[in-house]
Amino acid sequence: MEIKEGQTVLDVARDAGIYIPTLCTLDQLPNFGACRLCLVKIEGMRGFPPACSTPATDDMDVITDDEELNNLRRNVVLLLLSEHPNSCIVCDDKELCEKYRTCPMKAGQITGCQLCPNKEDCDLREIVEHLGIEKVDYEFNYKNLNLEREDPFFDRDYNLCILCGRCVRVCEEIREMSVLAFTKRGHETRIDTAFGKSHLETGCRFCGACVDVCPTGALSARGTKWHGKLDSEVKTVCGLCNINCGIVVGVKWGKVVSTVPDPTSYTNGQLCVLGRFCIAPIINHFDRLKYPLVRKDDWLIPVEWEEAIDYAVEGLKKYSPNDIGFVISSDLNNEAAFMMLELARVLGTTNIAVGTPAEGSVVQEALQGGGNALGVTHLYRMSDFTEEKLMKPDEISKLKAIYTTQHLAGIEEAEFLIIQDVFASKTSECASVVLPALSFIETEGSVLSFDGTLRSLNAAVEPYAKARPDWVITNDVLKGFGNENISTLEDVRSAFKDELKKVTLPEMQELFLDGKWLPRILKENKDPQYSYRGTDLTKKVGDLRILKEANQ
Amino acid sequence: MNEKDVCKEVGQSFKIVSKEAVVPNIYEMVIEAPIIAEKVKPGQFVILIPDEMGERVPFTVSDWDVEKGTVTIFFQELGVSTMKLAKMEVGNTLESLVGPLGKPAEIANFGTVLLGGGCYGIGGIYPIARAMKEAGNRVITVVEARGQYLLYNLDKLKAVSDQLFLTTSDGSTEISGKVHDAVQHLLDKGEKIDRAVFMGCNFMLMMSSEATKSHGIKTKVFLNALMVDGTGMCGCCRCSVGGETKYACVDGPEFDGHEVDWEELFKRSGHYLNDEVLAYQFFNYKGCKQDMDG
Repeated sequence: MEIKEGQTVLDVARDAGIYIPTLCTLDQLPNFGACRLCLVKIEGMRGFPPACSTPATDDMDVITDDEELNNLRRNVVLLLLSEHPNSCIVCDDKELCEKYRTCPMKAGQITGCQLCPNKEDCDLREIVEHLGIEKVDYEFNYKNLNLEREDPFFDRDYNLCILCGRCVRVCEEIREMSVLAFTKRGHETRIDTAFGKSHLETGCRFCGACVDVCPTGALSARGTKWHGKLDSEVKTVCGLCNINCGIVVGVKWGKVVSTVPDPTSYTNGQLCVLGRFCIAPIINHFDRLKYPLVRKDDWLIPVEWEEAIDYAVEGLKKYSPNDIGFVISSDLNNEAAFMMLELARVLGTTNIAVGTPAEGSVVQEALQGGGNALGVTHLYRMSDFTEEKLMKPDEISKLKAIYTTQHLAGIEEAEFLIIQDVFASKTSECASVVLPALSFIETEGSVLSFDGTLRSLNAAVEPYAKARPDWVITNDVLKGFGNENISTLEDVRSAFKDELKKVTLPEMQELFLDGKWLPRILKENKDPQYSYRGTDLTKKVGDLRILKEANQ
Repeated sequence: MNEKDVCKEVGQSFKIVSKEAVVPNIYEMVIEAPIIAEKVKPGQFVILIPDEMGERVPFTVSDWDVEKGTVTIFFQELGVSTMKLAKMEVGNTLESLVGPLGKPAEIANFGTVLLGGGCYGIGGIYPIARAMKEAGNRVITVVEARGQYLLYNLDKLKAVSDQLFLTTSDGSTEISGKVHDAVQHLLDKGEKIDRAVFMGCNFMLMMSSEATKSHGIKTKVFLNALMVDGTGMCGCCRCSVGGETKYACVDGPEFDGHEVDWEELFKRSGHYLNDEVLAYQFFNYKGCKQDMDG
């Protein structure tokens, strides 16, 4: 077998596809040797060295799997199970119970696998099955520690904790926050914050990295943990800030039930509070715009798409180009933004405002400027609109007719207001036409991330209610003006792709040399803006409001 | 005047008098409700709404005190509403509480009665045990849990039972297994059982009923059906018993365990699982009003 410099016995085995059970190892971090499950036999070495902390050398003769080793490992796991609720593992009715109770029972304190949110991807359970444990001879000692759930976003039931230390290490070494630590000693050892403070008090940023690495159900995301086995997982990128971290969307019942970091993405499997905990409650929020609405006798009435588009087109035709303004949200994907600019060009207006522009360093702009700020800016530039002409939101609000793709305070008074948005808002309440758009989770598209790289958005779930992709809606309006050049997403893309591919920011590459770049910039800066298309997300996600209030 | 104010006016504040986690995940809650306390009979239930944004949830009345004007419920935390209840404090008031609902349990002198309780049923079976004892029965009570540390209410049950057996899945008590294993164990020992009554989750009810069926023991179960109004109007708690459609709220909750269509009951119980799970995403959401004000 090939051995690379610095590899341990465990690394070499894994590279060769040989399974050695572990509960405490973590990619990206040095091995820790806490769980004692990776014990192996090495010719010429006394006892059973742990594979994770034994450097591999040439001509080493290693046994990774035999009855003696498995007995040792079994005993290690049995000791863990003597303090980790195990009744579902040894229960005689296990099979029938799983047949009739196909989803976990949504318990507070977890007293068995059937009540555990982590059942489907529990590392401990996997190892129990691998070792064929069906009986626990040690007397069970339930620690009966208090459930910790006064903090927002995640619950902590340390009765399930096996002290692997993954959460402590990821918080300290990758996120560099050191919120969690081992406290007390010996049998009393616990994971806790300093002085047992709440996570809010410690300044925890609720990135959720600890939840992601927990091998048991001890740490769990309160809002998105009870879905059981997922129907599908879709890789895409987050559209809430312009870093566009890689996420994996968990889908069940046709809904977004979880979002977790994509370890293969350029953000190295790290996220912030928004990407980790807030996407599902935003996308599933009941304040989403569902149907096209048209104002009739002062009431907004649900209508078919054709009628809404006609109404919008006929409305715009009544105004001269100088009286019409466009608000392009910097959360729009490239395709949608391009179509808005195209419509402005066809109508012959240069009254364009780009929503919520941010100022500061490149990183601050990326965090505070919207999910596709760079893409929208570049598309604006390449559309022959000059920067001097770019309008401020308050200038736009003076215009008679406005076509906006986000909520924007101050434009409610416009004579004719078209809003194409994801959420109901003050703006949509005052609009003449409301065009429900799909969010970044439900549409194909692309964004230009802050590093100048074009990244794809993949649709994770079916369209929400009657909502449509932004580019399709704007294209339908465009067709109303006799412009029928574009019919597919590929048509839109080919119109700007080459231009956006020319964008390169080589200076950014330096930032990415270090695998921990994202945690570092998040630590040095505020969280990304709690806003999407002009809507304040703290008003949509209760726990985010709590976090914001605690930080004020 | 809203519902809550009307209730206050007639002396029904629904104040939480005590709340205790008796074992992990199971809570005992004593609620001020003098009118209900005066009327309730063993086997009946109440429907409560935890807070302004809450849903209606049914709970078996596990004890009551006419003098103090209180009713006791045991609940297991199993969803957003019970999570809200678990987070409420002594002195808080519930949004509403209606009851007593459902038919009382059938109480008579049957001879030897076996009572089986699991999860919330360990608490809920108590008034039935007490009434059965008072009616002159020999009462054998069996309670089940995953482990010994999850058993509760034992002193009260012991006081009204001739015999009390503890069963656990992890074998940490005298009988290893569940109530249905204990039934078999007793029958093997030659115990003659004239009637069985079970209260617990539907899975436990089904397994226990199967254990008594081949021995021809008349078996009653307290069904757990999804319920909204609890007065026979909405039909949400519809279940099939003996080939007939019944409403668990007004025809039950006590039914013949050998006649219940369990498969249908499980299917119906799982119907809103997606909404139940998605509800967690909006747990701390304060409602549309604040939302649109911004």
